[in-house]
Amino acid sequence: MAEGAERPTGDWQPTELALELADTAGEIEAYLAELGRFWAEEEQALIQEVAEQTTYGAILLEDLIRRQLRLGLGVAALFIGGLFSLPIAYLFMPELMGLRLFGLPLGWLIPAAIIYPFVWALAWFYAHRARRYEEEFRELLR
Amino acid sequence: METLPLVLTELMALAALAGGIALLIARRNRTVSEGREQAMLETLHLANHTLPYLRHGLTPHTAEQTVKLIYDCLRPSAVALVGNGMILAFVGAGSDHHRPGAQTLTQVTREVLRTGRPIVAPDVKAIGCNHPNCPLQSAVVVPLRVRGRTVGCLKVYYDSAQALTPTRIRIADSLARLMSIQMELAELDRHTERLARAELAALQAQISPHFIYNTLNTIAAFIRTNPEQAHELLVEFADFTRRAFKRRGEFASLADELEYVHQYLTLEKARYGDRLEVVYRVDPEVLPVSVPVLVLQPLVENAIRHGISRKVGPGRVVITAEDRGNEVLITVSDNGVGMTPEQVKQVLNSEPRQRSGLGLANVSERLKGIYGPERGLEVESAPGQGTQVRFVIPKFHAGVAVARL
Amino acid sequence: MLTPGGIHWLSLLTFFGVAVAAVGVGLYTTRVVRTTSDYFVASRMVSPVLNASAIAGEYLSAASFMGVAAMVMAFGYDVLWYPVGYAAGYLFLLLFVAAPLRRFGAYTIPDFAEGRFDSPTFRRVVVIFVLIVGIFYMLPQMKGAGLTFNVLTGAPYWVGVVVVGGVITLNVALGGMKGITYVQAFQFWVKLFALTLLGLGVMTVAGWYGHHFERVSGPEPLRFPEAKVVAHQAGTVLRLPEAARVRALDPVAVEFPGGELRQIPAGTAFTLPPGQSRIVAGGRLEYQAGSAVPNAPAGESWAKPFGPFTSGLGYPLIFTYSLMIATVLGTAGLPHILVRFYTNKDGEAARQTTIIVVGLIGLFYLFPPLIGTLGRSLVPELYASGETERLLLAVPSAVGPEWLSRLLEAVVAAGAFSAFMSTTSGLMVAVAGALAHDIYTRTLRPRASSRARRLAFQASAILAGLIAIVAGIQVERFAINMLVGWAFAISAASFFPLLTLGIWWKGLTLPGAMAGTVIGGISASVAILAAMWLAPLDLGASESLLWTLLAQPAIWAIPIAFGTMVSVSRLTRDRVPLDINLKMLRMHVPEQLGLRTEYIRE
Repeated sequence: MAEGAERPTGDWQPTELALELADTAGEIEAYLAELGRFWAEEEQALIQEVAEQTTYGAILLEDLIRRQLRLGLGVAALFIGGLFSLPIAYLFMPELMGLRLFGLPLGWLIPAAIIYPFVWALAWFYAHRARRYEEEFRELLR
Repeated sequence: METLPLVLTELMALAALAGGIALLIARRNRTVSEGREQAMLETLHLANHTLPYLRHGLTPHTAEQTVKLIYDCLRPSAVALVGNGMILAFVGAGSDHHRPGAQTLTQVTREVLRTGRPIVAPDVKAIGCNHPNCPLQSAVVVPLRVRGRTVGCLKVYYDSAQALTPTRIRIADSLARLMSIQMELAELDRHTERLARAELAALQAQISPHFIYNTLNTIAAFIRTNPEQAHELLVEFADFTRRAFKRRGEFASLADELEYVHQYLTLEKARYGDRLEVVYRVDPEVLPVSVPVLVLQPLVENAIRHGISRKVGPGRVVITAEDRGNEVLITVSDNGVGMTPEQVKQVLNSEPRQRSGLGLANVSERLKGIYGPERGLEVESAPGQGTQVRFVIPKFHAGVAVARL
Repeated sequence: MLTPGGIHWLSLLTFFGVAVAAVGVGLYTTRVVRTTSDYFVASRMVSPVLNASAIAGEYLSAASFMGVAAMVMAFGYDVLWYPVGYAAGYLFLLLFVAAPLRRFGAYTIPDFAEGRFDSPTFRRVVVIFVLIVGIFYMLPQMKGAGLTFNVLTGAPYWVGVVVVGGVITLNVALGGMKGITYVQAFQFWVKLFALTLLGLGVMTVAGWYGHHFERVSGPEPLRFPEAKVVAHQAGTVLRLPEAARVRALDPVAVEFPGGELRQIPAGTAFTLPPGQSRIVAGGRLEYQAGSAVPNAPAGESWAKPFGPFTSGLGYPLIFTYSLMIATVLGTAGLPHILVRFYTNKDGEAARQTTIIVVGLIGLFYLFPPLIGTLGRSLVPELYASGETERLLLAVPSAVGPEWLSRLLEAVVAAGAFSAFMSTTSGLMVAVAGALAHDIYTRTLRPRASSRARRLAFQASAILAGLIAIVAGIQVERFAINMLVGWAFAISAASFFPLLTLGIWWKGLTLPGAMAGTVIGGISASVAILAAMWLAPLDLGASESLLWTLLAQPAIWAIPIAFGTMVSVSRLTRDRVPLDINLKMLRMHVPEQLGLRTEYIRE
């Protein structure tokens, strides 16, 4: 294997390993086999890494999953809490529920109209945050 | 309305609300172990960020970027990187007289480069700097080794002997090892590239030699008559082969396979000109489906080679992908010369050719192997009436990888 | 019959016309738009907006289109939880299911069950529940179809079910999936257009939402704004808060509160006293302007929560919350919804699509409460005859010029058919697919050729259609939204825990998943069937915790399902799949990482 000439400037460049391009069927097969081994090993290594659960990538993935789950649960709890409070608000805050907007009482307007943009906003918020978590994950793995 | 259940429910609702808010804004407490882990993370970050530079070799430019990163992270008095004959980069105190480009190296440095072993310089004399007011009082010099050769070294300086703690020495050592690994990977990159080029040669046995030969001839012909077209075709051809050898897995999305077929067809159409017409009828809902690689293109190639090329007059190939609920029906039809029932049987049952995976029999075997014995190719053909080759695969099949688009 | 008898030709035309148009859209997209020699056109994926329109179209069924408005008129505030739940269902889908499931590559829930646990057996178990939910959800569509057809032509209920059910079945069996994304998207816009036109059209003529609301939600009893004729069937009960002045147009016999039975000759004016009267011999009564409307819920309880709908069985709190839970958690498990997500390019596209769906659905649901309110105000006679379910088709007749009336009714008819067709087709495809692919092909005859598969699908579609039609005829007495609520409850109890735990918890084992799905699904199904057949016919008559829990099983069936899954999984800890980490990787690793996650299982 030829080595790259070392230049006097002190630079180091990775050397080129010269391989003759094969032109007979047998050599092609040999290279195919070597290729197969090479990629199989890489695949094995990846599977090994994930299965061992101790590597950087696996730990980060678990962290990502946990964060996204927490985010989902948080948004869900927010929504459920708000929704469940609604019927009861009528008993504890009747004047507020009776407040008129566009001729309709607030208590009616909320489930009949206002809640929909609210749900949409929650959805958008979740997606935004989830995407950010994923980007952070990608950054750390690069 | 009884108040007790109401109050209970309201409390639950409020608890849910509070819980939700808490989950969403909670930040983890900074405990002591958190701090340590944070520090570890930052160091790993540093290692990761020096990587992109070193993959391009150790030059004054990459060295400069690298020492800056190391300096910002470790906060020593100074950091230097030395190549095989001179200082490549220096940052920190004493940079007025420790200059990059200087050909003179200290005794310590030369020793490290020669032996390939790290050396600790605990005082000014050991450092060997002759400048009277040099603030650098202690240093650790570690070699950078690539596959047994010392190609340079990393020098981390501190302003007092006490500042050079064992931990810091070990940090510098580990850092140098990491950098060495990076440089070895860079060599491996080149190796891989070469292997990939070898794979291309190997792939020639997989792509039909006829196809390569014809395409290159077509391009050659165009060079004289229509150089622009020739150029485009060449680019297309290069792309096609790049795609061909980039495909390493066993599955790809239907969209990807279609892209591959499209590139193949662009080249074929250049050869056949108006004699070849291709029609697609693809349900977009099935584009994400995972299909085995190199099943569609062989069918199309077959349609052209056996159907259209032997026909007098223009030929038409129709490629369809139909959404069948849980399954996808894929067909390739041509209005070429067709086959007799005996020929059909022969084509489907012939011995799959050894290295080339392109015969219909081979494709059929592959499909059966993955999806089961009933999922092979179905061929309908009659002499003079064209041919239709089709297969149905399920959208989801256990064991079939999900192709990432 | 309320609306003028006979056949409403224009509406009938648009009713079936929209079906023809939908089929046309399907054919057009496959013949013209998708057949091309231009590769770049052929390879374009479905965009999130288009897919979201299709999902919204398939999702908004008869329940959303006509059921919600009708129930709002009949019961008021409490019904609003239904549409809120339907919309929030998509939020929950986004939070817990959309992206990971898409990345996993599962097309249906049985696919997920098999892939996550490597168990073809579990797949078959899940298929059974898919069939249950699917059939159950088709019933309210059939109900709506029978009802609508009856209003438009006067034909008996079952005729509508057979005709509409037959048309849809034929379309699915013959056309299957042709251009399905475009067809469903088209039908969404038809429905939205119909509802907006109706709402805005009526308001333009009859006045603003707020005015009507104020008029009908006060402490005064609801009264007829003008004289109205109501045809009463024998046996109808009339509940009045105050006396009503009426004139008999036909000879009728009325049993007054207190038991007195009077024969009243035609043309006689008389007073119906407050309390409960009963029509013994039916006929038409003309209610004078200003008389109280029989059977109308009082304004104040109508406009507030814990009103007549949920208080009927005496446990409004439980009823309400159980209902909410069922609708919110049930969406994720609907068989025809999840398959639409497969069309997306990747997990991120799945998320985007879901957000757009939430927006589209929210927009749509602004209108049913409006129309319910308008109904209470403009066509209160529906209370008297007990025909509030016909609200959407009755409202057009209450507005000014006849041409506008006819036009609105025609538009509503088109929207109604779109609603039946989109959801029923989607369900039928899902059910037929499960029957043909999972039961026939994988279990009975794995060696089927592609022709045989096609036939199997068509036969399955016809079978599913027949079941839907036959069962649909039986459910005339149930409100559309009740039926839908039940389908959601079963889906929520069997599939929601499976999906969420399967996606987010490594520790879920096959025995755990199977036990939880079966226990949740069966307990919910049994409870609902019991409520359907054994509960007191007039659900408002008796107070009962038991019947409340049976009619709304979500609140206990879902926790039981979760609990079972968790505890059984803990007990069978050793049976966590060996490659669980790879599966998690597959579901959660974000796109564009360049991380190769391909693997082949030997």
